[in-house]
Amino acid sequence: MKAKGTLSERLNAVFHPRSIAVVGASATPNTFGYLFMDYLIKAGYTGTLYPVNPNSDQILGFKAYPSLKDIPGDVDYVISCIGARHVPEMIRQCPARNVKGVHLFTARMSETGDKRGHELEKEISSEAGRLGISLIGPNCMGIYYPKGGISYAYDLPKRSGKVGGIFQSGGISVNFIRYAGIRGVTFSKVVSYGNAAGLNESDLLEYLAGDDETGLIAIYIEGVRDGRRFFKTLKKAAAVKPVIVLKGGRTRAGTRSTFSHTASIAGSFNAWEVMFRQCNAVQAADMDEFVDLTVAFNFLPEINGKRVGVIGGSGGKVVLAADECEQAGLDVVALPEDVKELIRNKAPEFINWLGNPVDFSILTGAKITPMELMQGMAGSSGFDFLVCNVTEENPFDDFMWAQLITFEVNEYLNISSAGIKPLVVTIANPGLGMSNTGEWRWKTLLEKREMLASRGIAVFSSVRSAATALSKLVNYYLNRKRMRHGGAE
Amino acid sequence: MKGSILERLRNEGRNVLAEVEAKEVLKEAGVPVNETLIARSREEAVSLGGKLGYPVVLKVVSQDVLHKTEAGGVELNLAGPEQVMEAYDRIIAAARAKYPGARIEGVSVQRMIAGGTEVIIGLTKDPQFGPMLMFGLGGILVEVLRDVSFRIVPLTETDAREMISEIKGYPLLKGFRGSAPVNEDALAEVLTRLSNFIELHPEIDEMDINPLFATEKGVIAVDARMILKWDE
Repeated sequence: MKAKGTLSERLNAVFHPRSIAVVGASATPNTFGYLFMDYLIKAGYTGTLYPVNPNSDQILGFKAYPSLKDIPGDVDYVISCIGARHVPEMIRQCPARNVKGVHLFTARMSETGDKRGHELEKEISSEAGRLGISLIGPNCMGIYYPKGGISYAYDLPKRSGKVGGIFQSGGISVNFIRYAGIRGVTFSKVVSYGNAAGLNESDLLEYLAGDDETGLIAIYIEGVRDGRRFFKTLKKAAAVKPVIVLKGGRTRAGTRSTFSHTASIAGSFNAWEVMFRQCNAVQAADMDEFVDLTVAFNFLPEINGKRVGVIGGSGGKVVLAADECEQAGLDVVALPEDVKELIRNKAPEFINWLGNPVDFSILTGAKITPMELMQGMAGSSGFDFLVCNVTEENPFDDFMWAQLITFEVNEYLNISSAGIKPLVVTIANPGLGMSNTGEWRWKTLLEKREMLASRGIAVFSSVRSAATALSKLVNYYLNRKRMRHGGAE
Repeated sequence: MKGSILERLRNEGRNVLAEVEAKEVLKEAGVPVNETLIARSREEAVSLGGKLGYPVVLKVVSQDVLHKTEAGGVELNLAGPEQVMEAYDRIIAAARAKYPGARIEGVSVQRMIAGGTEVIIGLTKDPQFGPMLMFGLGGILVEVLRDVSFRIVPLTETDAREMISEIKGYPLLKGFRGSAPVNEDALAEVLTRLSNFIELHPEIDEMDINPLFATEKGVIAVDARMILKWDE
């Protein structure tokens, strides 16, 4: 028997359990049997929780049961923290409780590389398939669904959002959710799927591509089971929503016969990159960029051009900002005619001095205010988006420094709220030490960053990272347009 | 006609296809090829030369001679019957000298194509993602510069166009210093036709079309080879 229902029905059931049993639950803090219970409690899960442990009556305030079959009602979802060899028996008890999904945190299966681990995993997977149970794992963290109060770590964002995640590695997923969370990103549904004995990367991608709660998808992947299916699924997914991919693990070129030039040259090419490019998936170079891209796609609308207006900062900083934008493939255009017209009308003496990037520090005492100039730039059709830098280098004393920073940030916020031009903000983050975070200067900047993020603005720690993310974002939307125009296969 | 070349080759259990047969397969895939006929004697070579029209190219036909040029097995730009006869003898002698005991079927004859830009189109199979087409500048450039692009089969029209424009040497195809631009539509068409054909024929395991001549008017495959892999 195959699992019941369509893929989307099966996964919807997994994400909306009315009851969860933690098999192998424990009252001992910092064991996973304890943690998985506690994660759910802290995340605010409101369904029924059943700890299962033959040696306890009560765990974390919940009545415990010796085994799955002793639970008095239906169990929609099971989190397994028991040893690998006990899993088959547990799976066999599932039908009696109408279990729809099982997450195997349980590990030590195929990933060990030994034959018995492989065989056990295969046995479990075919048994679950036969019984119509959706299987996640083994060797993974399971699902994070903030809307349903389901979590697999402490302190993950409680608010839900639109980023869906698919992670071959649980650890990477926890870091990613935390790092992106600090930047204001919130999540719809995230799955850490481990060895993929049941649901695999293509199943999950297909599901999230069709999921209304998910607006963009982040994937960390090391390998695939069925490359052809993944290719086709990724292509379809990226055609409807942005898919950001971080590929872990270097692919070693295979040595093949050298009958043809093609085969010998192909050995030195990375087929994954070819595949990502062909699917219009957005490839992240590393973890930092993975987070930056997620921030960009999460907060920014579709942008179809690379003409950037760079605002803020003084002297050499704006020169570097322009260089970094150009290097990332953005187009640092000259001030458009309508903006020049504005300057001519208000402050003609600046017409040859002001340019893009705009150095606000030179406007002291001018008859045009930074706000007026920014409004002009935001309203100009000559720019596709703005990169706004916070001028941390201003030379004034505590009070005035903070006042100017606040003023500047509020102006960026106002321009952004007006909704006429997409913008991002850069605030330096030079790797603060413990003592720095208490200093008023850094504290102010951290507060500004947090405030902007909470107001839905993409904040980056450098012009380079902002420009790289924006360039890839625009490429994604331009490619998508072209591919739609070029027709599907 | 249902008796397709691939069916025949399957029945014969053939795996390695040299120029003449590879071109027959390409023809079936809808790729324009430079018609190539096999001569088994110098007289036959002359008669085929007359039939195809001079100047012609002669190449040794042997499963055992993998590197034809290095073996002295290729003679270009032969303008008439005498040149063809002399070239025929030279080719056979050179191949026998370099590959003693090689099974030599004869010599292939085709019209010499002049002008146009040499490109390569190839097929390889990636262990994870399956058949991938390759495009690049042909001739020796492909070996030295590796200026190529890949796409996984099936290709959309956009894929085909992008893999052409994506190579660094693309300006050479667009017409460089007054040379005429090549027909990109025809190139893209060949790539998508090959993609469709490969989807229907997973037995095609590896392929080089090198060179394919691209001109303002269209494209034509001048040399090709192929490996077929049949299921048990």
